[in-house]
Amino acid sequence: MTDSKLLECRDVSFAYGDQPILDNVNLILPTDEFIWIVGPNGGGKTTLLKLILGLLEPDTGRIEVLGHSPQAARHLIGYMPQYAQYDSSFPATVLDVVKMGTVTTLPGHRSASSSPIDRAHKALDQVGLSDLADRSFSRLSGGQMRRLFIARALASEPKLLVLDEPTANLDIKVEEETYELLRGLSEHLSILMVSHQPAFVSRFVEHVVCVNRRVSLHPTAEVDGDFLKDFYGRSVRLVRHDRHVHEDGEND
Amino acid sequence: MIEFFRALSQHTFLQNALLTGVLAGIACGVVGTWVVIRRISYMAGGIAHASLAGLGVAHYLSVVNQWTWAQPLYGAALAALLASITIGLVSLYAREREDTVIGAIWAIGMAVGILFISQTPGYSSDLMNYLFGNILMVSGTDLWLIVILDVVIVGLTWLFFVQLMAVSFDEEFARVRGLPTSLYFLLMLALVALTVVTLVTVVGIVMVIALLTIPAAIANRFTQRLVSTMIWATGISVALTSLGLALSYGPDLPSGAVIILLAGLVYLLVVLLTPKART
Repeated sequence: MTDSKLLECRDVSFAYGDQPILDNVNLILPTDEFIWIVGPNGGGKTTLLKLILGLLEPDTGRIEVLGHSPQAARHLIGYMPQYAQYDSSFPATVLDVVKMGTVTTLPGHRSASSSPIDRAHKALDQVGLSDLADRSFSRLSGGQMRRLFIARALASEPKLLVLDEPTANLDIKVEEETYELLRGLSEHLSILMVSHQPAFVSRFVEHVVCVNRRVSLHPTAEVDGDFLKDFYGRSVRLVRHDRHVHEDGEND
Repeated sequence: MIEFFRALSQHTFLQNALLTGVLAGIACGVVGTWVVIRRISYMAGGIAHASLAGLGVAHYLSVVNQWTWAQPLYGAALAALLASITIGLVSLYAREREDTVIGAIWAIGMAVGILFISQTPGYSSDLMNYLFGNILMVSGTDLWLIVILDVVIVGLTWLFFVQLMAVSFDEEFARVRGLPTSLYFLLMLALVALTVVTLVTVVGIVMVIALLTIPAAIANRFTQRLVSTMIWATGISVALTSLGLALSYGPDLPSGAVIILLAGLVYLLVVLLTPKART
């Protein structure tokens, strides 16, 4: 086990009841990269993320994140869940929300060297929201809100950032800004991102993971932007494409 | 009102009553805020009503078996804690509709309480006091129990504040941070159970839920941080119980009902007259 492996999945399968979602997944991902997870709806992208985060247990097989079990690796992971409408009447400022990213199991337990409040301010600075620290979080715009939840993920000073559809429901300009922010962050940490939007991402991702019950990995050298658009376009269209992915997987 | 203040300087029971309102207001403001932001008022209602079982059993034991240490409020605390853990575990793990189970525990607890109280010789007014509260009957022992509960409630909230806030705001994220979110959920319900005990004496178990939600809901409209919501909710709760007590004393009205009506009226006015602080 070397440190340069971000993720290692060995013979991982997962089913909801008798419905198989992921079937015999074998995957090794390198660290310090921006990795994009694509695939059709219901293909198992979110399930794969939840397995990596230890929110689900695989039925068979083994997963290691940065050399640890998913649960043990949690202190190395910053997570941004799929964007849900947060309770806008929740009494919390922008800074309060980011501080929740530094929360530890028990009070007083310190995992990092700097204090939680310092890390929260640093994270806000990284996403450019420092000026709004004392504002009620519910008054942020859609794009600022995404930055806020990226900051919350950064506040624990993670080695890996896991993002589930970070730009869903944003307009194109704000979406591009959000990706630009992530691209900057990816110079210092590994990013694993599920996303539907291929146009902006394809310019700077280094590896693409295609998930559709089976999983295959493509370096960008093999897969250029056109292929991605192609893949994406066809994957939303229909089943015939799925057979194509299977073949890819088996050829690997 | 003037009559109330004159009586207040003369009668210990009235001073006790006022002090109870203040002490219960602290628990109510702190835990009511959790109830409102976590949206667990139905669970809180179930816990409150199920506590009648403990009140009834302790009452029975103290009269029939002469167990003088079996204070009704101790029984209420035990029953409320038991109900909170049951409701919490069912909500977390059982494949049963949560609201159905809460409704069942709600009524079963009351049924147990009513049975035991009916089999206890003596005044039947005891049942009424438990159901609708009688802040004028608070004993010195009760006051001390409420003080201890306040210390426990405020202490636990202070200790686990960030954890409870993170779990309330985004449970999945908190779980990825490694927090035992189920444990914190049970802790929150246990805090509700203890708060119910402090409020039973003030407004009775039937109306507890109003004091657990209204002050925090009013405070939530004006505040942008959890701590300030709790402080304001405490202040509002103390003001409502004190004023309700004072208003009810002269005309000899049931204080619990007056407090709740006052709270409801203020809440209605606040909702109608103020735009929400943020939109």
